[in-house]
Amino acid sequence: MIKYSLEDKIIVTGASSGIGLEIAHTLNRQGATVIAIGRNSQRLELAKINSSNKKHFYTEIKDLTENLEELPQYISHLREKYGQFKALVYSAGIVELTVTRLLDKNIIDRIFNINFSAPLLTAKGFLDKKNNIGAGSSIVFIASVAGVKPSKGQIVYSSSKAALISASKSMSQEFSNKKIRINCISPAWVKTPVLERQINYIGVKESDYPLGFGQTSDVANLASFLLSDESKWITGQNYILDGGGNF
Amino acid sequence: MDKSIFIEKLKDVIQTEKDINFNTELESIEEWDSIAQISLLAFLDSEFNKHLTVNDFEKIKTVNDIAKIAGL
Ligand SMILES: NC(=O)c1ccc[n+]([C@@H]2O[C@H](COP(=O)([O-])OP(=O)(O)OC[C@H]3O[C@@H](n4cnc5c(N)ncnc54)[C@H](OP(=O)(O)O)[C@@H]3O)[C@@H](O)[C@H]2O)c1
Repeated sequence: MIKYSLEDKIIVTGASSGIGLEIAHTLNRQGATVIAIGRNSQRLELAKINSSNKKHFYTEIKDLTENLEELPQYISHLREKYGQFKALVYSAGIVELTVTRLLDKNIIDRIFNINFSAPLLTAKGFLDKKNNIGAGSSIVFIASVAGVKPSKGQIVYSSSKAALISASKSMSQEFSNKKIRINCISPAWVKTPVLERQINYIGVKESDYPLGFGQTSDVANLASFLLSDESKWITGQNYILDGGGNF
Repeated sequence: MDKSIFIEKLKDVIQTEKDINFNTELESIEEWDSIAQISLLAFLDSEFNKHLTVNDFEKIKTVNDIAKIAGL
């Protein structure tokens, strides 16, 4: 089993719900110090209450799209508070239906800000030499199968994730000689509040998945592996988790 | 939202030129296809903050059914 130490300080965005929440709990249970970021203070507080090592589960309330420009400084500010980070998990994101006839600049900006610009600028802050531990640092971005294989109604969402996957591959090449690794995980449908909402929309069926819908723990287990030194030879990859659905 | 504005917006969402009113059956609109349906979901979500379930969706037969969901 993967083990972390309290010295391993890991930032998790989107930690108040769904996949990010599960990742934050998993890493904390495996021994890491987790800095859990989200907007909703009640959900974050609940996340802390339910964590296995509350003393090392810190919460930070932050709207990541409020001021994109200052995101790198925000990460520096967190480093002053907590010390240098071993890893960053970026799981914050929104899923919205978009079709050509209803496209407008607002919706493009809204989705790209949180799904593309914010992860890149958060990563910029994390990758600043002062803010991470150097060799052995690692980033995992939560992208989506939609970024690889878009379906109807996902014009903006799928392109925000495709852009993220592409950026992370390029970024990984910048940092591989420093032994800092950057990977993406692209899940198909995982049981989270987002799924509950979307399933209503497009009638996704569990029978399309030979292995069933994903559980948040399926994503968290891979994230934990990709952040740990167990995966020290892996960078610049995008892992598709689709329960055999071949999306 | 004013009812006539609603009808105009709905026509735009469905991308139809057909004269529609509250009694129009959706199945009678030639452009009522899967993209029109996704568009309707996105429209109800963004304009009226209504998130439909698959079951709700199956019950929508007429323009009036949509208007009721939108709260008109
Ligand atoms: N669930 C799936 O089936 C699935 C499949 C493929 C990819 N994904 C991706 O996985 C990621 C997580 O999805 P999820 O299913 O876990 O969704 P979720 O349960 O809705 O959680 C989304 C998280 O993002 C945070 N967030 C959203 N906007 C934010 C903002 N402006 N600033 C800071 N935090 C913000 C939310 O914080 P608050 O609670 O404070 O609002 C919440 O913690 C997303 O990037 C999504 O695209 C999900």
